[in-house]
Amino acid sequence: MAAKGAEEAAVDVAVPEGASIASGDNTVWTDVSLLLEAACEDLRDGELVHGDNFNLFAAMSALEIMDPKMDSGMVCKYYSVDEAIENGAAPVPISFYKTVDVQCTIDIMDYLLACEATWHKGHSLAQTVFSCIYLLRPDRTSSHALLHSYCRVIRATCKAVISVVSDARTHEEEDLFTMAYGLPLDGDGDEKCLSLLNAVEETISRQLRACKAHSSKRRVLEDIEPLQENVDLEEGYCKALLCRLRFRKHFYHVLTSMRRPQGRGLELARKHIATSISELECIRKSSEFLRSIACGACDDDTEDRTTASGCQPIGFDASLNCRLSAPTPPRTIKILSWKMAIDYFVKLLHDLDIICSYSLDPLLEGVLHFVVQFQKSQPDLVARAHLQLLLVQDGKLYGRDSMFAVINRVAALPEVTKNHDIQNNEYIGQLGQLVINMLKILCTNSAWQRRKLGKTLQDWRVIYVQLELAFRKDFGDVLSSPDDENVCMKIFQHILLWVEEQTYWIASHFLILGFELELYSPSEYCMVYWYMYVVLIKLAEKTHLKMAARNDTNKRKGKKKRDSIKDVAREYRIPPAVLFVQCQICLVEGLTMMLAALRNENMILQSPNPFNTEQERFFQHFELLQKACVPDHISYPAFHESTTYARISTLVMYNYFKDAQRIAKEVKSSFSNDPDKLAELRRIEQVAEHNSIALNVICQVGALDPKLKVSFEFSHHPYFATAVVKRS
Amino acid sequence: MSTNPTPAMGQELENTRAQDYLSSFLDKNLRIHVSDGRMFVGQMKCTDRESNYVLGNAHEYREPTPKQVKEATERAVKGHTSVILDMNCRYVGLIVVPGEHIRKIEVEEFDPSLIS
Repeated sequence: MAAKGAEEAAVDVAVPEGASIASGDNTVWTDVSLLLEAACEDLRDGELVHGDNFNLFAAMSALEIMDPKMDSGMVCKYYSVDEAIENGAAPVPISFYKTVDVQCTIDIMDYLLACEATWHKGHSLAQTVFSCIYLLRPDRTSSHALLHSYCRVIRATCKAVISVVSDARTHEEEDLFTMAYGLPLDGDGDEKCLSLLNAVEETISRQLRACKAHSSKRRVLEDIEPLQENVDLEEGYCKALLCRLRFRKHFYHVLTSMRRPQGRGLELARKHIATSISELECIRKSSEFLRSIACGACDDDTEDRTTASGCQPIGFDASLNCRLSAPTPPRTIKILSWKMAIDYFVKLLHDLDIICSYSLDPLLEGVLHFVVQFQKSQPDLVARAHLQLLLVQDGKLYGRDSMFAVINRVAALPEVTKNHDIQNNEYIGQLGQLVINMLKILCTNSAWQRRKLGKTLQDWRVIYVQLELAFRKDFGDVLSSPDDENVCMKIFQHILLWVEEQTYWIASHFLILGFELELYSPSEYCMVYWYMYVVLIKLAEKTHLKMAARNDTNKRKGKKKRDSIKDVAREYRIPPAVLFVQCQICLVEGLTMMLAALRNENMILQSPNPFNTEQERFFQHFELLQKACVPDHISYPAFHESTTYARISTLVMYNYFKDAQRIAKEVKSSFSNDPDKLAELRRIEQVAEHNSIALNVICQVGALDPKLKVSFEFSHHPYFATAVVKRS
Repeated sequence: MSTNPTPAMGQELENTRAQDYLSSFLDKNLRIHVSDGRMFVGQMKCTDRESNYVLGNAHEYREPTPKQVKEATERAVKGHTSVILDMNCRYVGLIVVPGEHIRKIEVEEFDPSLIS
């Protein structure tokens, strides 16, 4: 190997081993391999030979050599990018035969798409997209316009995506994503990537036109050099390239227009999203053509292939960068298949489209509902980051409404508040910050979101207490002026009520997320539903009070114009939003009691938990709620007390599920223009109906048949369980 | 140092001798060559039946890259038949070298013949 690098045959390079690590004075290195090997064989299994100052614990921190995850120094094929290039790993042009060159360029494009999707899914940029040697040396490709334009737009896109994600900072758990140390993300002229891309696209579409004209024997108006040599393949190659280039262009447009302040670019972004999706479908279809040419040359494993043609792309080496992906140990990464990559981008674009079609609801309740609904489709990091940046810009909602205005609206403060001194109150400022934090947290992945929401509950409780104290103090000051006093009173009441309502909303969302993350075992459903019950009761109470206060304000406003008796009548109607919660309350109460009764009557399979008691699990699940006193005076004994005496016979007499069904039916008409709420009500109705029937069956048959088995499924609702009764 | 245990000795004895023999290497400088061509030099801290070695204060040595070799060759004065290059070295600290990857182990020993 040493001689290989020498230019002159006469020069013989010898690398004396250990030249720089000459043994100390008067010592030599002796080969003891065989002796040591023999000695080791005589050791017993698991026996260690070590000194007094060394133990297994110390060994834990040792780096394991030759382990791809730990040993970053493992000798790879090439030591550096330059060496790889010198050895012809990434030639420019890829081939002097234009047909082969085009074919290989398409493979590179496809593989880059797969790499990009793999990156978005949480692997390091260095080992995915930037495993492409062409990307690592931006200037090398300049003679190859097609490849050069594609590499440029890829670098620019990566940069745009990184900036979205790092600005949103929703990636705490996905922090590999933004690491780009040492990667040439700022290629010279990459910001002008679109003009080059357009020029290349223009050339190829001319070539396509020329080739079509040629095949229909029409006279060619302009003399254009074809894309490659093979006339039969010209049209197919032109089309395959065009959809790939156009997808990149429109996708880049999507990313940039979505970043426009105050959501001004959303409409434009939607147009580009639609085009991007249709180009992706063209890319998908081009696979047939590309495979037909490559057939034979490549592996047939259709599912795993990372390019449309199935050929291995030229110019990629993931091991080159493995040292750049610090501070994580280099990992062997499996790149997503080309098909999965396209599916990923289609989903991403659909998710972005949902964001772009959002109406920028000024009411916080609407925002929360939208975000929760959006998260149900399990969007990936990039889409979530975009949503968050849209919601919170410059500390304002959509970069437009100040947090005080948002609170003003959601807490239904009286008109005068808008210019009231209260917005300068220190705690109101903190409250605004809490709302921003909540919005940001709601845009993170479910696991992170749940943990953060749980922790933030304490902040909400603290701010409540602080506001209450501050208001009392201020209230004392303004007692002298009776007019102002009234307004202040109103503001205090409304804000405090809303803070409480919001706290219980967070708590209920926290509990619901536990179902999504599958954190509860069936034996714990009873306590979880019970806790949901106590939280929802509070939520309904606060919502009701807040709405009553809101109506009160409206009524007073109206009173000046007309005194009507109708208003009084309306006041006594429970608002639909409260009834909606009420309906859920009946359902969770029914579930709690049903589960408790089944347990008490030994009709449900109980697997005794060997590790901890029910009380311990209660604390583990609800620790964060308990610490924040949400709700007050709630503890394990309270749960125990309310469930020990539950019996099936009494449950049938008072069927909570029937109540839930009844309320759901009643309240449906009030939500006729809210399809999400309507669908939710329908699901609740279904669960209630099934459980109500199940309860009757258990009551009638259960006494006679001891073999009756009851289990719970989430077949009708993601977190309200449905009982399934079976005879074993 | 006698290293060939006689077959007559019981297994227990062999085990004890193996332990003693291996213990004599503790904290001595070892030079371990691994399958990818690198070499590690460090103090022996621990070993086991599978010949896994734990080295403390270890340094990693690797051969110069072809580029370095080429450059050195170009620099070299014509007529010289050999060029001496240092191996690339870096500190890696505490490491475990799994037995399956070990190709050769050398120990640093006192050599009385070198005393001048």
